[in-house]
Amino acid sequence: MTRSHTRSLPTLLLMLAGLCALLALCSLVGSIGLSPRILLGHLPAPLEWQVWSEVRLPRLLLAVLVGSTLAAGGTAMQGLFRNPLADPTLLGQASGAGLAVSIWIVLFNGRFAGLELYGQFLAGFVGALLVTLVIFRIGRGYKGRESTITLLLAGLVINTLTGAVGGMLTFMASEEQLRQLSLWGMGSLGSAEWSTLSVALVVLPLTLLVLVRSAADLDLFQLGEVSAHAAGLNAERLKNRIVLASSLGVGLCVALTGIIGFIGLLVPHCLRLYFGPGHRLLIPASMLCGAILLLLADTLARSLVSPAEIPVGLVTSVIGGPYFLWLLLGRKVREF
Amino acid sequence: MLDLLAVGLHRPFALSPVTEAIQGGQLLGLIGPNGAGKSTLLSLISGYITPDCGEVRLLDQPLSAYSPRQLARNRALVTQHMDSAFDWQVGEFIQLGQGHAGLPCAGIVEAMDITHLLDRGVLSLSGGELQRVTIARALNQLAISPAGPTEGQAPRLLLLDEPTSALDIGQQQNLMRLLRRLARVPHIAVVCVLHDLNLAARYCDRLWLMEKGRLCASGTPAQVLNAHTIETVFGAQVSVTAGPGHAVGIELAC
Repeated sequence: MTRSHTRSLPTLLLMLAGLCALLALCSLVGSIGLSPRILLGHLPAPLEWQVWSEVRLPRLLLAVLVGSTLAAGGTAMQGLFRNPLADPTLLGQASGAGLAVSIWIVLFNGRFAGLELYGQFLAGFVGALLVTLVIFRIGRGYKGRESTITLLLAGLVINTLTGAVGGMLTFMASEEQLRQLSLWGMGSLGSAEWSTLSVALVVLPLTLLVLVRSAADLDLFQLGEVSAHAAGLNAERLKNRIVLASSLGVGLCVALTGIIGFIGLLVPHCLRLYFGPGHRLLIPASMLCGAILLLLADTLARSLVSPAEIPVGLVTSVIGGPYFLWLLLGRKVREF
Repeated sequence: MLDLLAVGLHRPFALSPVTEAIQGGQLLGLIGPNGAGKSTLLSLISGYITPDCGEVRLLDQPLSAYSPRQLARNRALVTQHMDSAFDWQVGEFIQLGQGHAGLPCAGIVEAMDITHLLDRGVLSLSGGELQRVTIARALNQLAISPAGPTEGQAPRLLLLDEPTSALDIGQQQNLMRLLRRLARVPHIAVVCVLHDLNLAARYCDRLWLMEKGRLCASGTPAQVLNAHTIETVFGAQVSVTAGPGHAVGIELAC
């Protein structure tokens, strides 16, 4: 009866197969090319094995987790704000997390021996959460075009503000901290190691699970708060769940990889054209597509100028920026 | 089915305490001038707003005793405006909030005359088309089937805020006839905010007349609507003629 249900399962399975194939392929590509035989269980030379298991695999897994989280988080935020522009980067959620992580690096790092990584994660979460709550408060009470403009302006102000405070922090930072800030700030998956990945492997799947389980409620929320309440939705509980899960997810991603922009905007928007707006399909599809997109972007980032690499955040911005402009200039602007 | 026991509100809109009952098998019209408090009273009845005083009871239980999902099985609300941010297909949209698996209940799509709209996106619909689709969704939420007896005997309360405001005259008649037909079923009650007094007088069993945040009259259309009351409350000069049963006809004076 509906467009999405007839196409859903085969397409999702196809995307999953594509992701698996891409994972296998990307694990072989890089500054050191690896033989496909490694995928068939043939033990390679120790160096190749070390590159594959200690460098490539954690990096690819991190790309999958971060790509999935950013895309699913963007989808859920768009559903919650009932606005197709509610992207973690545009609304300032990511830069809020970024500023909090910068503050941690400059002011607190080194003071808590052994807790550096967790402190960075916690800072990212708190920063994203604070910005989400502020944005949510500002956006409440506006509808349609008014809501879009208000949210974008609020996001612009938050991004500018966090940029300014972040700039001030660079003056206070030591040389070591500056190097740490600039490497992390451009958005890169280069820091992926099994030790850093362990937290992400626990927390990010949990946030994704929360988002997937909220899909039916997000669908109801699209009726508007009053009608959704009458249709059986506890809207307050849903809002708290999405705000916490997306802040935790985005905050952790930013703490791990820096700001990787536009995935949360681009992925749900493209998929909605195909699957329709129902979140039960859109969120799993966004997870798969976000993972694929970030895997591709990261492989490009580490292959184009090999053995050096471009920060992956720059690659996604180069793809996402023009797409966002096209959205604003093109006919799709009417839908906002 | 539903009892309002001295239900009142102080803010954001002052509503004087209302004590009334809504029976099953009844089509109740809420009428009154703009800003009289009709939509606010409807929100109180739906449970979206919690009253500052008094209690709303559904089937002898306070609304607070029900979980949102339990309430949704017994009561649905059609708001004045439905603005979707995303382009739901009509077929998907009417299944939002559906408590049963599978297709929408038989007869809803035909009764609301939206069969030809099922593949369209809601953003492309006219105001009247969207209004019909929104009402179809509410009927489907309650599993009310206009084609035959409604599943089970569980009480159903359908609340509609100005459901005819964007409809042409044919669709207005079609909808009011449908609501009239549904409200003949003993376990279904329909509460409808209406601005068209002729529609209210022609189809409703009872009317509640609101003015400046208080319920100033309730009864059959013949009891509530007379030229003096209409002039006092609405400031309009009309002539009122007796119609069939409790109905009346209202004509604006030149």
